[in-house]
Amino acid sequence: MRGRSTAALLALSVTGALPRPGAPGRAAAQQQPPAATGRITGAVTDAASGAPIEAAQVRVAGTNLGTTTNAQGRFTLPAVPAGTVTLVVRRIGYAEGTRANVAVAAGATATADVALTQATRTLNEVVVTGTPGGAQKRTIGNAVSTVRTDSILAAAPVANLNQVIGQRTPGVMMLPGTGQVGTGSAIRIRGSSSLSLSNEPLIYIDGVRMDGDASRGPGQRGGANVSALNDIHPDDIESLEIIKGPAAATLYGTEASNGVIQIITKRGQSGRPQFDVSARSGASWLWDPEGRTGQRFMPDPARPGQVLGFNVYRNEIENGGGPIFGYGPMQNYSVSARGGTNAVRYFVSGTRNDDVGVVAWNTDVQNALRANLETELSKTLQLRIGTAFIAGQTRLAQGAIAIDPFSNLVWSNPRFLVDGRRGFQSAPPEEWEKVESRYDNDRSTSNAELRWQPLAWMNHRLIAGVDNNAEVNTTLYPQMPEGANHYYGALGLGSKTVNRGTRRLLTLDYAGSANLTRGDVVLTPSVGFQYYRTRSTFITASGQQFPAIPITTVTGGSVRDASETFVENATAGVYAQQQLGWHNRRFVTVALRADANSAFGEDFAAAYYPKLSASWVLHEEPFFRVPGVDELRFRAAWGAAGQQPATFAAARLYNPIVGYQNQPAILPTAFGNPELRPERGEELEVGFDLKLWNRVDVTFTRFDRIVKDAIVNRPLPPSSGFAPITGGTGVQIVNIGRLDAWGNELGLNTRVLGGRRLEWSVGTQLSTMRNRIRDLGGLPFISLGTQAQNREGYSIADLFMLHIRRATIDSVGRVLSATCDGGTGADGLQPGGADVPCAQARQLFLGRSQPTWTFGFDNNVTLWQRLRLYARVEGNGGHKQVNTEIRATHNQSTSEAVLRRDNPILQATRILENDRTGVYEAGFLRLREVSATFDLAENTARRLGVRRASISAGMRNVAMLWTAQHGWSTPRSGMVREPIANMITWDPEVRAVGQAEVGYQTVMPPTASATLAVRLSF
Amino acid sequence: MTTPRLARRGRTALALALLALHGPLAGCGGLLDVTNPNSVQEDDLANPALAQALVTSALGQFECAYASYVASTGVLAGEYVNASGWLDINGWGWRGVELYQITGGCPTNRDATGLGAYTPLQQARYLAESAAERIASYPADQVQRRDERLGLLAAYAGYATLLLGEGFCEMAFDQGPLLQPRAVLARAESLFTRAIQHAQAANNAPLRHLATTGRARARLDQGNLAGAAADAEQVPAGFVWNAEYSTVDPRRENRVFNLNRRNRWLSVNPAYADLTVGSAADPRVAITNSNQVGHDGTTRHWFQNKYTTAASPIPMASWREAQLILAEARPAEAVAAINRVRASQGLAALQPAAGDAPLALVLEERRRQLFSEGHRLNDMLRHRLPFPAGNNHKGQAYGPITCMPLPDQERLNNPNIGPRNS
Repeated sequence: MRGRSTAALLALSVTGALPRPGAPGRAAAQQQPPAATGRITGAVTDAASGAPIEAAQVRVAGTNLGTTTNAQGRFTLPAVPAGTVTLVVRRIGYAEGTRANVAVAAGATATADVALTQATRTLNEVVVTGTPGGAQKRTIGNAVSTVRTDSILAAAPVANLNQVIGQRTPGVMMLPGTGQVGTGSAIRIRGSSSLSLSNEPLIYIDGVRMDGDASRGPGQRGGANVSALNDIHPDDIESLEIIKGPAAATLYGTEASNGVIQIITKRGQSGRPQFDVSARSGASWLWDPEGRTGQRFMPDPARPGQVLGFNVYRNEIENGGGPIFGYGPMQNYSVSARGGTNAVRYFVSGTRNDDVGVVAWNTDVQNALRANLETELSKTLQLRIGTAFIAGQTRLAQGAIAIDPFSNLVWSNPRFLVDGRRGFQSAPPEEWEKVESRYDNDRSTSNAELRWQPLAWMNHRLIAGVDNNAEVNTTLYPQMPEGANHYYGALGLGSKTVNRGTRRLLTLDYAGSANLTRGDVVLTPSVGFQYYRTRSTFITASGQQFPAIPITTVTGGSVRDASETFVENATAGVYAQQQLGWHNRRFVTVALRADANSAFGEDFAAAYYPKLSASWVLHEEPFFRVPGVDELRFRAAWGAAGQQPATFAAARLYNPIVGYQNQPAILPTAFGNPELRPERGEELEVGFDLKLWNRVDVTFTRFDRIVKDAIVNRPLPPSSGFAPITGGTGVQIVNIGRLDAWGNELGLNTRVLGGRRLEWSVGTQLSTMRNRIRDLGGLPFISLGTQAQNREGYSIADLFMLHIRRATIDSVGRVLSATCDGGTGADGLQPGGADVPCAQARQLFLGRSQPTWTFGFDNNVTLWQRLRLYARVEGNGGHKQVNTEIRATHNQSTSEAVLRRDNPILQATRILENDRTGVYEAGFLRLREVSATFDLAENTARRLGVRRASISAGMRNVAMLWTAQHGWSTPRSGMVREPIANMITWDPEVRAVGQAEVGYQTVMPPTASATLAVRLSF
Repeated sequence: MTTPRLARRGRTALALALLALHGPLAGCGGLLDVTNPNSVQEDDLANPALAQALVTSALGQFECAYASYVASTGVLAGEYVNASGWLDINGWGWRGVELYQITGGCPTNRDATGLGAYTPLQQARYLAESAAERIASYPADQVQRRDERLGLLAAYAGYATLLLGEGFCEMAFDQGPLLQPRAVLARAESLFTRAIQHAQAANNAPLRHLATTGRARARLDQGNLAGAAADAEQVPAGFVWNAEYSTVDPRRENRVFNLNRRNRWLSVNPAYADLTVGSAADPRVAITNSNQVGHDGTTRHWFQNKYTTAASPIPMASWREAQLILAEARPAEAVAAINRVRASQGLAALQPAAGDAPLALVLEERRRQLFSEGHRLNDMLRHRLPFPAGNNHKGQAYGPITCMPLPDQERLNNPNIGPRNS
């Protein structure tokens, strides 16, 4: 590839008129070499209960001197310059505390205790995401959500990072994967806003970009494969920061339009070593598998015109076979140690995960080690290094229909009772386990962060890191004694495919900032440079037809082939930002970023992303006197971020194939577009943070986003000659679209009661998200298969189908006439029109395929500061889903309605709009989590030799409470029935994982689980 | 109070930091360079050394498309029946309106379930025509066997076009307007004529026979019986030109074999069982009851013995086909031509009864001789032979499809064609 043109840099600072650097007094403290020093010791406690507060940050204002409190809440600060100092104390969950006028005498020890008041949130909390080097929340104009992992782990029965994130943050939605262990979920922040590109946010860990894709490993039904994000163990995480859209993600540039999630791992702390041990065990299962399997039918050979039905799940049990799904044991162990001195602090951990799914051969084993080290190289230079190694082995069970327990159940057939399959679709259960589908990975993530503060008012930060994941994906069909006569056909001769390779993400990130004070005004200019490079290299080899049963290597196959893929991408960006703060309560920030990427077309040089934001901490204004209002902050941000096209999307490409007479050949695959440029999202978000009576915490954000130059895969007619190697429709990638997205996010947390005997708090998260395609560049619509379309004036992947109103059939079910809704509205695609013959009808708008609202509700009750009871309800809705396994069941003539042929609507639908048979309302509310946690009293714990101990019992996916299809009387198992032929969908929450996520088939539904966890601290 | 020296040092440090950022950006071009060893870019094709690769690309793509065409039209025409539970084969089995959504492809694995050949045939045609343009633009002295290569490309472009004209109700080329089959067949004929000219210039007899047979077929389809006969009688006895297949790559395999014998997703229509010629079983349609059911668990499975491995070739053109073209074009000579074909295989001669219409005899002979070679659907369409009605063997009601519809993906995305209901 040719080199890219140089990106431009804009400096916003004004030379020659800079305010004086440094805050008053701060420089003086720096300038005078301390003639003598003393020590400060003390304790940090909870103002209400007097309980010691562990891990509070204690700092001498105006210096780099600081430490954290130990388990007893005590701290020691050595080498404090003699004189009068102010201590500043911070701890998440508490308002910032200060202790002024602490007199330190040379060679002596001063005592200073600080009491902190509980606060559900604090504006002085420092966030690192979206800021060059970190900033207090009060100064930031966009919403940054912080998720405290330990608080979630202490209460919620979560098994992995996907579940930790969940839908606990307004605007963040986790689209579930399958019910298999090892698989994960796709993440959506503020819904979908790209027509053709990824809608996944960027993931960082300690400032280093990492792979968080949910589609790793061998292909599974529904596309929900292994999650790379779940390689990170929740016990290693201190917090997660989430920024949600272009207004906030400007500093991340041309890939951040879908938001950013920053994972911050735990750090060491000065003091005696602290050991934490946790063990969690439990089991998962599927609710009511027999009931949800339902009946399948065949014509009764003894009674013409009648049908016979059977339930294959029940039938298997009654005939001596096992239940298909059982209880899958889950185990998780974690050990960590943290400690250190003021000069060197460490955190090390080891975790092990060993889960089995609802079928015994679905397993997920993961072992991980992590070490973080911080050291003060000098008074001005700090180094942080971190490294983690994760080794995982996952075996999956849904690699193909023939071997998938769920597919075999759903498409069971009483006609197959006589041929050895015992009614299952492809093979009897004992055959499924013989096929292996594995994902093994060795992953390392490393980062080094250098912080240099040469002057009190200047900071530099340099981060370098790499995420390297070596994968081996294997699918093995061993040779069967029956050979090609086996249920698996030719695969019974044996087949092995091995896909081995590496994904590497390299990060280089520099940020420099200054803090310049003049009176009440603080200027904070920042500049930065970021470079990311990704590389993915894979080799696939396969061998088929083994000579003998013990042979299972690729070499053992008499027919072999191989392929290789190699993908690289690089991004470089620079930015400059200027923040102005006035009285430490009014803040304005302007920034500009410029990016270049290797995927941009030849005719496109660089992308520029501006940002403007403001924050006003109103309650600190002298004139603000509203009783009950403890905090009130207004914030607004406008910014732009982008999303780049895939690497080489701009180029016209020909790919190698084996050609005529097995000679080398090439095939046109990518049409190319030299003008291709990134999508550009511009977003305005406004909102407020409100705290009332120190009990009620309200955050609200409204966002409006425009995606310009939306990248659209404009389908090419096949007559153009360009198509994917395997066929189907070729596309040209063009910037012709415009998409609007908007929504609201509300978070409401209330501490209802706060006494020693009873504490009660509730939390609510509610968000709405909508989008509308404004422009498709002249295309009337883009078809997404047979179910959905991207069409102007409608949302991404809206469903368009025939609306059949009436039909008549003859005595054998043949359709004689079918009457459809002719449509109405400006475009004629809205339902409610006049009757027309279906042969003349158009496909009308049926509904949205993407959720338009999410809801979460937490209830926390703590009794006598010991017993914590927790429950969480979660859901989303406003959309429909298309379960095409219902269509397939009809097609194989195993549904009663098809056999009876007496349902005119069904008969007509199957001929005219076959996918309509599987459409249902997909909204749901589920009792997601419940738990009870008991914390041992401190003296009891000490008698046991530990500092702290807790035991927790919890359940996940406890019961379905409400579905849009059936309301509050919905079956608790989650089962819903579609309205045309009353066919069963196992769970409305199920959906395929993919770009448009429209339509799915035999995706194993989420499982329920129960766990018991013990956490000890030494 | 900050000293002046410190203030200057601070400003200097800040300015130096800004200036330092220019360093990496000035060299940004190199940082963004990435390699793509997977693909060839358009500009690289200007190299005459790629001429052979362009030829093998087009011919190989046609072979892959041809196998998909033979299988797909075989189901539509009743040579095969659906023995699978796959949704994307069901539509072919009941000739349903789903076929409007199917563009087809050349699968890269042996277990791909879809049928259809529209996209791969269009790709083959485009590759052949564009390769011919490119080779014609290379300096003549830098391309060896130029006429032979151009002749091959024209012939294979002709066959791709011919199949698109025979099997589809309507057609379009290069995002152009809608064409009826007659115009498509005329285009195929002109391509064959060009191929014949290049073959003559190259003195390549087999290539000339390939193109001549193809032109005879195209002329027959257009009703130009005299022209068809004139071409057909030029094809020498024993001539065969095969589409070749191989197990070296799944994409190169004989898909008819995979679908029928390997995966049991298609069964030969039992109507072909027990056909005789004279008093002996007709070896041209030797089918065997596998004593198994197909993938769907219910359809009795019969396999053909014409393509017995994944590397079995499929005839594209042959003297035997040419003789049957002659038989149809000259009804008075039909029996003689049929018997020449039979004699070449040691089969008993046809002894028609009085009153047997020559066309009926020819069509029956074609049904057997050219079984599973992609001819039957066209024979049914051009002679308006009846397609099955009512319910198929699975109890699925037959739909209205006979010729393959132009896929909606072509209609909707071709600026020169509108949607079906517009």
